[in-house]
Formats: sequence, C-alpha cells, structure tokens
Amino acid sequence: MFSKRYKRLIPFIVIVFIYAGFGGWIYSSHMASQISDEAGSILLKWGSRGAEVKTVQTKLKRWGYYKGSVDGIYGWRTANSVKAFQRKNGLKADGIVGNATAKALGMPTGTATAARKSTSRSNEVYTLAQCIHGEARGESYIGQVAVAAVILNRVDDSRFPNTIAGVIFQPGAFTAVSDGQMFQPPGESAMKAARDALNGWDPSGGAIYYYNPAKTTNKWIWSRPIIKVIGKHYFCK
Amino acid sequence: MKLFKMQLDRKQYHRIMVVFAAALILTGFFAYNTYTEKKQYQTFLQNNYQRSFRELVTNVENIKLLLEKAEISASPIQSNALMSQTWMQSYSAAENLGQLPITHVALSKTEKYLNQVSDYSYSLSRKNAESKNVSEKDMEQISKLRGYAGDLLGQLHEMESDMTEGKIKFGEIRKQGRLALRRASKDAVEVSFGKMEDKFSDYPTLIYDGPFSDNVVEGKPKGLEGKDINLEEAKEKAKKFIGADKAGRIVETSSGKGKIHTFGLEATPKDNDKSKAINIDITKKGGYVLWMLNPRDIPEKKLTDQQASDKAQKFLKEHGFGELTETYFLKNDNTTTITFIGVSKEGVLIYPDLLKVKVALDNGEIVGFDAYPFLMSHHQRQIPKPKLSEEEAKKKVSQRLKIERVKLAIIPMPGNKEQLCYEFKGKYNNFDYFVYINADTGNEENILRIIKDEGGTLTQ
Repeated sequence: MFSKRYKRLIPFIVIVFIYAGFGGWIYSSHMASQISDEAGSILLKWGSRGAEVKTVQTKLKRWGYYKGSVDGIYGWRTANSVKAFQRKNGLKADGIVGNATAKALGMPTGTATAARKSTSRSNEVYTLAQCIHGEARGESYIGQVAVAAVILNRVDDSRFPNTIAGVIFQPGAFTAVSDGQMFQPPGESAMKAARDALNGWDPSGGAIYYYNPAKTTNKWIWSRPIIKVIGKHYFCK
Repeated sequence: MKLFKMQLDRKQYHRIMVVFAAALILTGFFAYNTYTEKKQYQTFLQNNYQRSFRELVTNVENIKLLLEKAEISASPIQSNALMSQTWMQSYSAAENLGQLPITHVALSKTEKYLNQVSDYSYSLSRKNAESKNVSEKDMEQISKLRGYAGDLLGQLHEMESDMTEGKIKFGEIRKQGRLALRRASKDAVEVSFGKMEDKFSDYPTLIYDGPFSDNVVEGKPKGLEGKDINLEEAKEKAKKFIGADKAGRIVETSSGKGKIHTFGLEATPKDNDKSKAINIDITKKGGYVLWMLNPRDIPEKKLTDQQASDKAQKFLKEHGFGELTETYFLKNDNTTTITFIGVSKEGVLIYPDLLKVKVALDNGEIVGFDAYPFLMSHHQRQIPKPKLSEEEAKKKVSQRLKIERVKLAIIPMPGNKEQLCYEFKGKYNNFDYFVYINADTGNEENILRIIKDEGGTLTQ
C-alpha cells in the first residue's frame, strides 16, 4: 500500500526538487556575477599588455616564478608563472590575475586606487577613466587613449550630448555602461589614458564611433566609413 | 525502491513533506521579493525616461513659441531676451533627448537640430546684444527652424499619445528576458523617432557666423604643405623624430583616414621589445608628425620645471619649429606637458598655432607630442595693425581687474575665424584672468579665468 502511494508521489517530488534547484541556481549565479564583477577591477590574462602586466612580471621574477623578460605582455610564460604562484599561495590556479591574486602579489587593488584617486583628481578624469577601463582594458595603451578621444569628440559633436557624463551615460551608447562593468575603479593605465586624451591626444583621428567587429551585431555601424583600426577596435566617422 | 519501502512509514513521510513545503514557501518568497524589487527598479527607470521625454516635449513647445515670437520682434532688446531663452530651452532639450533609451542612429539628426538651434540662438543673442537687429537672412533661418520645431513637436505629440495608450513603453526596452516583447516595443520607439529623422534629413545646413560646431570639425588643415609621401618616407620621418636608437623597427599599424590622413606607425627598438613601443602618426601630405606617444613607465621625478622646459625647447628647435612660446605647464604621472603657441616677429601671440610636448621627468626624454591644432591652423599670417591703441583698449576693461601686463594676440573665434585682440592679464579676488579686447572694435571678445590645478602652472 505504501509503495503505491510513494510511486504516485515521485513526479511531485521531482518537480519540487527541480523548482528548489532552479531557485538556488538563480541565486548562486546572481552571487557569482557579483563576485566576478569584483574580480574585474584588476583583470590581467593571456593577451593583456601594459604597465600592470609589467608589475606582475617584475614581482614574479623577483620571487623566482617567472623566467622570461619583463616586457609587459601577458604570454604563456607569464600565465604559467602566475599559475605556479597561485598554486603556491592556495589560490585558484587559473592563470588569471584577478583581485585575489593581485592582492597576494601585493599590487594595489582597485579599491585602494579608487580612494586615492577620487580625492586628488578631478571628477572628469575619473569618469572618463572608468569608461575606458570598462570598454577597453584589454586594449593597448594607444587603443585606450583612442576610446577616450572618441568620447571627447562626441562631446564636441552637435549630434551628441554636450558633457562627458552626458555622452558616457547616454542610454545604450557604451556596453560597459549598460552592463555596469564601468562601475569599477579604473586601473592606472586608464587614468593615464584619460589624462592624455583630455590633454588633446587623439589617436582615433577624430572618430566618433568605434566597434569591435567580432562582437557587434549592429548592422548600421558597418556602413560607417572606417578611419582607423587600433587593436580590436574599428574607429569610424 | 526497496530501501524506501522499508524506511518510509507515515510519520517520516509527513516530515519530508513538511521540509519540501517549507522549501517551496521559501523559494516562493524569495522569487516574490526579487520580482517586486525588479518591478520597483523598472518603474523607477520608466519614470526617469518619462520625465526626460516630457521635459523634451515642453522644451520643444517652448522653442516653437519663442521662435514664433522672434519672427515678429523688431527690437534688439526683445529679440535678445527671446534668443537667450531659446538657447536655454534647446540646450535642455538636447540633454533630455540624450537621456532616452533609443539608439543614437535614430536620434542623431534630431540632436543635431536641437544643438544647431542652441548655437544659432546664442550667436543671434550676441548679435542683438551689440544692439544690432536681426538681418533678413537670419529671419529666414528663424522661420525655417521654427518650421522644423513644428514638425518635431507633431511627432513628439504622436509619440506621447502612443505612450498613454501603452503602445510604447520605454521601460520595456531595458527589460531583459522576454525578447519578443522587447524587440516589438523597441521597434515602436525607433520607428516613431526614425520617422522624425526622415523629415529632418532634408533640412539645410545653416550658414551663419556663430559657433557652428561642424564648422570647426570640417575645417581643412592649413598647416600641411608639400607633396604626399609614401610609407618608406614616413618611416624615415618617424625614425628621425623618435631617434634611431629607439626606432630600430618601424611597422605600419593603424593608418588613418581622419580629418588629416596619416600613416600610423609603431616603433620598437632593435631587439623588438614590444613594451618599449612608441606610437606615432605621420601626415601623408607633407610628412609632418601629427602626434607621438611613448607610454613607458616613468618611475621618478628628477628634473625641475626649467630643465623640462629647456629639453622641450631644444627638441622643438632641433625639429625645425619656428618661433614658439610656452603658455602652460601640466604635471602628472611624473611628466610635464608643456603647451606652446606661435609668436610673430612683432611679438604677437598666435593662440591657434598650438602644440604640446610631453617631457619625462626622470631623464628628460620627449614622451609625447601633439601638433594637431598647430597643423590645422598654422599658415603664413599677415598680422594686421590694431585700429585701437593700447590706451583705448584699456578703457574697455573692467576697473576691477588689476592689470599686470598687456600683449597683442591673435585668438581663435567661433566659426573658424581669428581675431587680433589686446590680451590683458590681471588679478581680481586673487584669481588670474585674461581679458581679450578686440583690437579693431573694442568689443570684449572673451574672458578666461585661469584655474589653478594642482599640476598646472601658467608660465607667462
């Protein structure tokens, strides 16, 4: 008699399990996305370039993890040595320098940089740097200055809002703003790029749009005349 | 199966059911919470969009009304007041339009129209302020602009009624998930605005003497002389500029077809150490250096301002730049960026001929160079004689300003023009000011207040 009742209950129990599991999954993925956002404030991986990579290489070399040259390019050697370092220090050995690894390396993590910067630099540089960091932190330095220059060119252009904040927060204008990636403390390189762009350097050649051809789905943007290609970004009029 | 059959009696069965029920209630509660929270944000967002949209409608209504009034106003004073208000309204309209969650493509012409009304009304209000009446030609422009304001308003009202009927929901656009719905409403908004754009596609380019932003953008570079060069010649120029030791290998990376066509080059030392890469753009016409950036790390500060300035001056002299004078120092990241402007033989400052040199403060290396403004405006100038004497011009300056020195200067004016002015540098309330008095008419053309940044110093 009991086994009969039990059999009737199987679908019901399965549904409850699925339901509870689903809820849990949503919750955990929500938490995970928050965590990965945090880690994003310093994120160096295969293919990254710049001063921050150099810092990592210098430190790893000093401690004997890294044997290559300090060239500021995150190649397989760097990735391997980062993995070795992570293993030694009980971190997840993924070869990516996120916040935890950066902290273990004794690098200034995002939050510390932010507190220091926002008090000593004008608001504009910081906002601009945040946007650059969100949009182009994987690009070369020139690529970052160019992205900043596009924002400033838009401010001057009559078809766009007239302030830096207006351009950056224009709905849908920048992916990094739409998905909230922008709200991370910018790295040193982004701050420097923002200053150079505000100082007048414009590697984009006066562009007011740019896109990553591998990522964009917008057909209209393909029709724009391309002025320049810097790294992964196409800059256009 | 057997296991369960053995272990589950009625009591245990109940216990399990209670646990499941509790789990169900908990997840339900959690889902409900998330849902209401999401709803709240959505409403908040929706309200923000609504506010921007409604403000935009009010702004455009006001613009239309003001332009209508301007058409029948005959006195400069009245017209001045109307134009200032139009300026304010169109500026705010453009800002509100920029807040709407609609792709830029659908909006760019409307935004441009609003910015043009803004610029145009500003230039007219200045004209009126000189007690000049608005010309016949200006009147034609005003009535054209008023016509478009009417069209725009019609479209906006149509959208407004669509919105009240619930056909368009701004909030839906932002909503993730329900894709079909999202696409539908997005289309609705874009079609509505797109329709508007079509109407605007045939409106004429305005010609007036005001600060028409496109004018500046579309100006032809005046500083480029000489023949077009090829890639090899460009590489040679780059090598000369950067120095042979730092430019062992030069590759073309990002040549540009911007306002000035360039060869975009990347130079690395002989050992091909990418971290020491320097980027440089050489103009196709004439082979000038447009800009150069060396983003290397500069760990320390050793040089004084004077030493940095000497390095920059020496560098410019070596590369054949004529008479230039420093105007501004900006220090950050252990570098000093020095702004130079042109000077004529007579000592007249030429502000449009501006270029920047960035000096590394550890060893005095030139790590940045930007000649874009210089190449855009530099040409052989006939410096006119001022019609006003210095004494006459001085009378036009406010009594409050304690004048420290006077110089003649050519300054850039709206509409890509240049004007000879007397430059008065003075102090008021402990702030440094520059006042520019038109050397021909005595008008006060511009007032600049020097903002003392922690890293910035004025050198004159």
